[in-house]
Amino acid sequence: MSSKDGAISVSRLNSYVRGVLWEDMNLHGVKVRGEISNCTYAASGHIYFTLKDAGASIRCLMFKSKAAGLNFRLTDGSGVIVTGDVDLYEASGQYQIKVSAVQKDGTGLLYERYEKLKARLRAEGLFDEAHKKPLPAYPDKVGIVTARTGKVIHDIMTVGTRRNPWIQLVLCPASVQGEGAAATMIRAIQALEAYGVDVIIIGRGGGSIEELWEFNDERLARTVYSCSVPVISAVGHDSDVTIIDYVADRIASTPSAAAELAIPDMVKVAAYMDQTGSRLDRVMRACIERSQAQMAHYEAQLRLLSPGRVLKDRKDYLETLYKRMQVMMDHRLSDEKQSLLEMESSLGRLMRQRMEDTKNKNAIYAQKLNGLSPLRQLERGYAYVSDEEGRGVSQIAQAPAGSELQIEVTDGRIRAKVTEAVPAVRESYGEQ
Amino acid sequence: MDENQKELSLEKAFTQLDEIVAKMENRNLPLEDAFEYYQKGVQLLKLCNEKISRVEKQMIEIQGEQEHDVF
Repeated sequence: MSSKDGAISVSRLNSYVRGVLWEDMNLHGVKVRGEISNCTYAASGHIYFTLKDAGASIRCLMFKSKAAGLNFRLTDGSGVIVTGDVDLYEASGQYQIKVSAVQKDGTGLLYERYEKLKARLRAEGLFDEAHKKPLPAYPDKVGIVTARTGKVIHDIMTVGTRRNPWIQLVLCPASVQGEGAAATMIRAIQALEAYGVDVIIIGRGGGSIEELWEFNDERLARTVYSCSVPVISAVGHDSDVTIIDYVADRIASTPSAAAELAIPDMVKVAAYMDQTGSRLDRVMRACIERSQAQMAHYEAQLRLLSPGRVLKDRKDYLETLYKRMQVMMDHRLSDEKQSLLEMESSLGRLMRQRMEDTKNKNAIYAQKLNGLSPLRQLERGYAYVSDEEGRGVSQIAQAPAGSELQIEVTDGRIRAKVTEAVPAVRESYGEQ
Repeated sequence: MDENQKELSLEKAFTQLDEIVAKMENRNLPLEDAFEYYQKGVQLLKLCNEKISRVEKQMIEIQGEQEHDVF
């Protein structure tokens, strides 16, 4: 190893030390926590930075091939954990870490931030069910926010073509991973909203919490919340749920599932149209039938209200009245007749009674009269005396001597000549 | 058919169709109105048929408002 004076070249030293470092397996795949400083993205694509803590620093190199796997931009001052092999850069004798991966330090911190953001947005009402918009049943245009190439867009297109080839898919490409992806997704959502799609799918094929970190962006969450178009989140993942899932109107487990949610099946659309067609016919028929029934009803009413009908009705009514009157009159008449008859019969009875009475009275009078009749007196031997002129003689002065008298007896008349008239000597008689 | 109706989305057309049928189910609807609705409904259905029988569409790609490129 050494020359004759024992000296070795710098190259050899560095090479030797490099070998020693290389042989120590503890220095392979080592993880070092520190803060980035002096970070440079070289034109070659390599990244150079210094990792330091409070008392020490070490140069770090990340080759282009490894840098491509970074999902965030390295910035000075950020805390990271780098993974790599400890190596010596022989040209400068500087020892360094050849970085294979960088992760943000404090996933715990990240998670804490995520939880805080989630709680804040939830309190603000960004996750409220009431705010969630229903998906359109029959969209014309379906907007897609995802990477231009890859499985996600391929899957969505496959589902779309199968279910409904007339639907217009509108892709607005965006980064779905790595720092700044949220900003591209925000722009894509806004562009699709402005373009006038009916529903938006935001898709990604899953990943680790770090890879999906951009879907926890607060501005993205607010953009989705205020988007006038329903948004389906199709950020494939198993356990971790991102903020966008909470704020989206619907969640789909995969981009294909999202496409099925967004794109109605052609068969269903056709069925709906058939149904609507027959419904239209049915209600129209019902309308016509209803109108016909109504017309029949009016016709009947009109007939009922026609002047002839009215006249007839009145006539009928009058006839009824007339008949009723007749019946009433008949009753009245028969009543009157009855009472007349009754009166008549009672009158007759009265008359008969009266007559009977009179007759009886007459009989009595007759008897009395009979007693008083001059003829009866004659029968008893009395006679009626009258003068020549037929005047009754009751006083002697009426019969002077010599005058002729006529004496009526029961069976004839006697002519007599007064020979003498002698006045009576007796008490006066009372009248009978 | 005016331009407005041509641009009518299937969704809106279906909503209108549902509304038309609902209106026609109203028992007090005058017959002339019913005929008018019916004609409109048939026209809408025709429109929808035309819409879905169009040829397969190619996906459109639009760009979001450009900002500085990341990376």
